Amino acid sequence: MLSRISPGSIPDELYFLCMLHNIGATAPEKSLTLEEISRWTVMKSEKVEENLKKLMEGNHVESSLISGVVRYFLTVDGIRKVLSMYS
Amino acid sequence: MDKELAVMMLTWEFPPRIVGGISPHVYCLSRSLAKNGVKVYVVTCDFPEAPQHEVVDGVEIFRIDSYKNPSPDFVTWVYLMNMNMQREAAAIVNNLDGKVDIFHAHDWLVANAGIGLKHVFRKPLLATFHSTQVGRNGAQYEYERMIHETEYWLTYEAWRVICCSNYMISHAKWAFGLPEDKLVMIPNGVNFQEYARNKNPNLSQFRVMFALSEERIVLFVGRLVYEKGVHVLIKALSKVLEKVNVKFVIVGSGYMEEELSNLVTGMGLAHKVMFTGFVDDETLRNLQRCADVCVVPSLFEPFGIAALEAMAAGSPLVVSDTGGLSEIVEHDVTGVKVHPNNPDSLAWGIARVLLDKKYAEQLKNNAYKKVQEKYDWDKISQRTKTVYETVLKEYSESFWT
Repeated sequence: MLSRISPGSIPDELYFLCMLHNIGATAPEKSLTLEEISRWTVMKSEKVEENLKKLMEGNHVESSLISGVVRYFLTVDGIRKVLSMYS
Repeated sequence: MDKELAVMMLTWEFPPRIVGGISPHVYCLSRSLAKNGVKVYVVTCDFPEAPQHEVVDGVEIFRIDSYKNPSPDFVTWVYLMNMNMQREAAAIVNNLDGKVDIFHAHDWLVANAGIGLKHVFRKPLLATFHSTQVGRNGAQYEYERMIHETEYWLTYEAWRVICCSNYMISHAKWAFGLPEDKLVMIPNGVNFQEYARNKNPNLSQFRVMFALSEERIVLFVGRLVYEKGVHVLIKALSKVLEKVNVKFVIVGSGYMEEELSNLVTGMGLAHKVMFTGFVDDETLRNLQRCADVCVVPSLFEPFGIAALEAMAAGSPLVVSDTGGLSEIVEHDVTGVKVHPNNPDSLAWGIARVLLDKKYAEQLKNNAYKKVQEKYDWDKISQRTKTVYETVLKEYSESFWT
């Protein structure tokens, strides 16, 4: 069923993508670890990991290995997807 | 005016940060104003791999760190971004020894920064409204009401409010209770020279990437959000297929992407629809050139830059009879107008164009002439410059100066 945008009516991973945008994970130098994302979003690590996997499959999130730690940030496509909700 | 007029434009999007119509509008307007002797500084949000500072076609661009402060939600992000934008823009103005005559804010997304700069430097603020919250989604929820109130505040603080269509003028009057003399209508423009200049001779080779030779291309370009009416277009597909073999090419990104894709799959027509996502300028222009028809099925549309682009590309146009689209397109002359939110009407309009080559040719020739006469950026920037000069004259005669 098609839906208009309103709180609670967007898919979980899109809501999660918006949260990543709002907390600023928008470039490699601003990337966050799984733990940091879990803390900021108040979501369990398993749920965070599940959402990140879906978003990476859709090319909206990328990961990079920095000092031996995996960190995540929005791709350009991911940023555009979030911003398109509000323009 | 003897000395060079200096304007600081505040915008949340500017190329390569392209989301909707604000980005091409500010880009083309600022370039054109610079050509017409206005000194333009653009202050905008950062974007991956875009430089913090550059000068392009006479326009000085500053990109601020818009992700400095983590936020719990989008509206808070906007407000914190505005604090940063105001701080950085103020530093830029101070480095210019205060030589900025006007602040020009584009939409609510930079309202706080614009209003702050106005009061700090006691210079007039202009606002251009490209859309409104009540028009897009209404103002039922708290955050929607907050956006609406921010928009109202911006209209209150602005010396003039520029709207892109007569429809938006009426809409702004209704939504914000604005007096007639505060509002100015200046339409958007299109850079039609770009379409003429960059013609690709191998369009047939380009075309096969999107459709079979026997399929007519029906093109949509825009954000995949509710008010753009893409779901109406999808629902029209089977009716169009009853009359003509088509391939729908849908360019853009948005929160409805998955929903639309599922709708197409559910209809068993996934082979007849291509979702391209965001594409670069050259690919977009070539698609607009080789499309057999461009469709703008919006439910709410303050202007409709996509329609102008189709006209400049020489593609026949089918639009919803709503908002700014109703003003841009003359039915049976420069395009076909259909009932908004009506898949049957939309299917009729698309088939009408695709099944009558002579009619389609007439439409696109008339449309091309019109876009050159009326929507040239040089003329539009002249009108904008006149508004700046009028405001500065009033300001110089006011107690506030």
